[in-house]
Amino acid sequence: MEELLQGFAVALQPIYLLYGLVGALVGTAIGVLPGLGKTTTIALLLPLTYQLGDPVGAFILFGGVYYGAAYGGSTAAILVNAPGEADSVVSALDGHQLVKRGRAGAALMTAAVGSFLAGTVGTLALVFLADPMVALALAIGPVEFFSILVLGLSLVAMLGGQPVKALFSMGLGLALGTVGIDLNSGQSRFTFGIPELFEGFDFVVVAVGLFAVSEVFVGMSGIRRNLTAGPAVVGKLRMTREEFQHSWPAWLRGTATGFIAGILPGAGNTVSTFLSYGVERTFARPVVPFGTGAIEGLAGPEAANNAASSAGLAPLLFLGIPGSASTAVMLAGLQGHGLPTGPLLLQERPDLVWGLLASLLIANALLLVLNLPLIGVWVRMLSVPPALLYPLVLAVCIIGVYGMSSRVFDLWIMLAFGLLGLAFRLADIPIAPLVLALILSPMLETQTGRALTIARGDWTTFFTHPVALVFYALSLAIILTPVVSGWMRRRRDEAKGKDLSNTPAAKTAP
Amino acid sequence: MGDHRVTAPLASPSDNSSDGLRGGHSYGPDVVSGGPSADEAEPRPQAVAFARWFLIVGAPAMAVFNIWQVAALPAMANERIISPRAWPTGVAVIVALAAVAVSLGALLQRWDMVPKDAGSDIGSWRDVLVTLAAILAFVLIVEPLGYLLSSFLLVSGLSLLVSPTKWIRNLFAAAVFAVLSSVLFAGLLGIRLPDGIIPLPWS
Repeated sequence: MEELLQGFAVALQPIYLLYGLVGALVGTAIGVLPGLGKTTTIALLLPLTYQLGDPVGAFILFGGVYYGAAYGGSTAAILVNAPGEADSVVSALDGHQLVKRGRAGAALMTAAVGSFLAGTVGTLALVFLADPMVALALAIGPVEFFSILVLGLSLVAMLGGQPVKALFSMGLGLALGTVGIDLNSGQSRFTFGIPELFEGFDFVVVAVGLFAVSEVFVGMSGIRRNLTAGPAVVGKLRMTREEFQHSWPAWLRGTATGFIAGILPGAGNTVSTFLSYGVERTFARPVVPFGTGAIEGLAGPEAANNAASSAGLAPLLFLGIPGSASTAVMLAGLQGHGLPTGPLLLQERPDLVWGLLASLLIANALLLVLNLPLIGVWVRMLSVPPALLYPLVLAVCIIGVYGMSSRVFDLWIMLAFGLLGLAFRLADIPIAPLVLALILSPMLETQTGRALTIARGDWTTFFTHPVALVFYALSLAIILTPVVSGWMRRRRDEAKGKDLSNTPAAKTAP
Repeated sequence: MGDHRVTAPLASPSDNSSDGLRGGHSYGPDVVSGGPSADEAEPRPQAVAFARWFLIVGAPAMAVFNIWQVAALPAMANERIISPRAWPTGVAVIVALAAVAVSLGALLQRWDMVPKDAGSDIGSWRDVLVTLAAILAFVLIVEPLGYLLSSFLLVSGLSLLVSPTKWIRNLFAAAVFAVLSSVLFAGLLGIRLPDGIIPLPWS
């Protein structure tokens, strides 16, 4: 706790309070608006923070965006049934039904309070996890590190609902991560003699292209048929006693579910919200059925989303492993600012880590205090004409990408990945695995090289470490679970079909 | 808490659909209105055909290109524990296996590989192509003409394309954005933006 107090000493400096506030407000705004997600926003802010030259301020700003986007996404999902990001899709299921029932104020309250509680508990849990995780990171070798990365990739591939397509996306990301000069041998790979590719694909350029530019293509195409609007009344921002009594157990369940899911590299926020919705459907006793405005169906996933956001920082800050696309951008930011990653970060820059965690607690409180009174402002932002919004988003992307290197070449790369992102959307291939694998690929290669160097080229070293075997077993279980459950479901359906065909009615049928 | 009576724009039943999980998002859909919207019900055979083509041909083509490039990597003269070709080879195997699975799934129509609602969130293909052309044009003109003029042309051109009746608002917004963004990014943050034919006094 002493370290956290030191963190508050950093975070409470006026300039860092300002960074936190700006981040929280920008994050909420981009969460409400379509087009820019938190990943893209952090990516676009990254080159600007290089100009400021203050990594502590940069990460406090990112922390505000990271939490604020979750609040903003919920507001749009609940009020307008328009989740700005995948993380908020589940919130729309029962949240928007509550609005239709005239309980918009209660929906916003349970979302905001649940998010605040989960974010606070999650961040405090990180404080206690810091030392054990750093000790673990220092104790494990490259084989164990490799196995954790494999677990993360397995989760990314298998938990999105489209495992084969996610595997393809992940494979492409791994392949793109091999472009550039090989650091071990100095040999250039897949660069086609283009000097701009010697350092590989810039992660930010790829992420902006895949997420934001493809979104601009889709958004621009729908504007002419998409402009009608109707009123929705928020009403009083309060819950009834019954709504509160149904909300608080869901907040607690959502916090626990979200934290556990979030701390696994690769699972991330979206998975945590779906898991939480499943938990609520199993354990909650709602007044109305799920999908028709059950407050538990909103309270649980909202808490899970914020708890997962907090927990997702643990592998980033203490192991140097990004668990999601947005934390992958933050890792690129750490590297861009010349900071160490992994356990060395906490040892060499405790001011940054503890200052960030303290600022997250402050940002969380600020978001609760500011966002409910400002709800009208955020909702009005949704009335920005899309005919202006998407061209402006595109222009901001261009500035962000060009501003990093002053190279037109990067704009071509951005455009190419924008088209690839559009193709992925049409073919329903998830984008996040590619982005995550792009940054994990060099890490995996480095760890493979280290492990083999230590083992003098003996490949069996990957299967002789007990901790690594546990992570491999977990990865295998994650990969096999949907296959086995699908096979069992088919067997059950076939058995049901046979039973039905043996009934007297079926036998007498023509 | 006070009484916050604000109005929020709601999507109309005719809005486009996006499941959000693909990262896509538009102003809709309003599921409360019940049932699929007119646009959702509208078949998109070209988009479905593209998705099928991309999965059956595009994915394996990328895998083959990757294998070809890995095979073309020159062997190292000195023997190493892990050669620069080793990791890309392993990755190429993963990509190839996944591409074959994706392609077979789409070819045999298994595992819901080809999305039946492909392109349901695309309103107008013409607007997609015009947006692409606008970006291409911007990349080509940004250095000769400079940031100020190019960004004005990009924002005003695209907004006028989809909302021609609000031309005063669109031109005004584009001009304000071009000037303010160049002041903010070039003037205050020191990011180098191309001057072109109109040198930025604040850069």
